[in-house]
Amino acid sequence: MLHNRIALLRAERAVSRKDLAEAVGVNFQTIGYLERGDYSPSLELALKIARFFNAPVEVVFSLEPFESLTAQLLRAGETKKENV
Amino acid sequence: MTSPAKIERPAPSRLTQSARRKIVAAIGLGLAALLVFDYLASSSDGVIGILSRALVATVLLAGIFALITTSTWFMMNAPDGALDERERALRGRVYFDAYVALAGVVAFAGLYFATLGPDFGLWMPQNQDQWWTIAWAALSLALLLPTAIYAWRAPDPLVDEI
Repeated sequence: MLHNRIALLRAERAVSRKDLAEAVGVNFQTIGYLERGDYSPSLELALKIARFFNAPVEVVFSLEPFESLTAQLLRAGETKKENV
Repeated sequence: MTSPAKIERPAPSRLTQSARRKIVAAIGLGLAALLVFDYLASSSDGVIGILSRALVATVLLAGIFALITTSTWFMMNAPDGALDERERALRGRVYFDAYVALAGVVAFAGLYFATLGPDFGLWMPQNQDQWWTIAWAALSLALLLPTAIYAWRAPDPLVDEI
C-alpha cells in the first residue's frame, strides 16, 4: 500500500479536492479515494500531485506509514533542546 | 495517464454503496422470480401469472431506472477519455469480471439444457413462452451485469472538502 500526505498538504494550503483534481487532471472523487488509501496512483499522477505541491514525490508519497505530525513536532522540539 | 476530457459529467452517485447493493439484489431477485413465476404459470391460471409478472416487471424496471439515472450508468458507458485512470481501471476490472460471470452462466445453461435437464429429469422449458423468458433473462443479464457489478463495488461517493 502507498501512503500519502495529500490531505495534510491540501489542508495546509487551503486547496479543495476539486482544485487539486482539476490541476492534475482527475475526478475529485479520485483525490478523495487517494487520501483514504483506497487507490494507489500511477507514477504519472503521483509526480503531478508532487509537482502541484512543489514538493519531492517522497514527501507526498511513501511505502511506509508517515510519522504523525505530533510525533514530528515533539522530535523537532527535542532536537532543538539538544542543540541549545 | 490521460486527463479526463471536458464532458458534462453527472454529479457523483446520490446513492450510497449500501443502497446500490439493495437495488442490485432486488433486480437479481426480480429476474429469478420472473423465471420461477414463468414455471408456475404453466400450472396456474392466467390472471395470477400476469399479475405476478407485472409485479416483478415493476420491481425490475424501478431498479434499472434507479441505476441508469445515477452516475453508475455514466461510468459504464462514458468514452475512455471522459474517465480518469482510477475510473478506467475500475471499469476494466468490472467488464472482465462480468465477462467471466456471463461465460460461467452461459456454460452452465448450455450444460443444463443439453445434458443435465433431459438426462436427470430436471425442469425444462415446456413451451415457446418459457424459452422466450429465458432468452430475455439472458439478454437482460448480459446487458445489466457490468452495471450491476459496478454498482455493487463502487465505494460510497465522497464530497469536496478543504
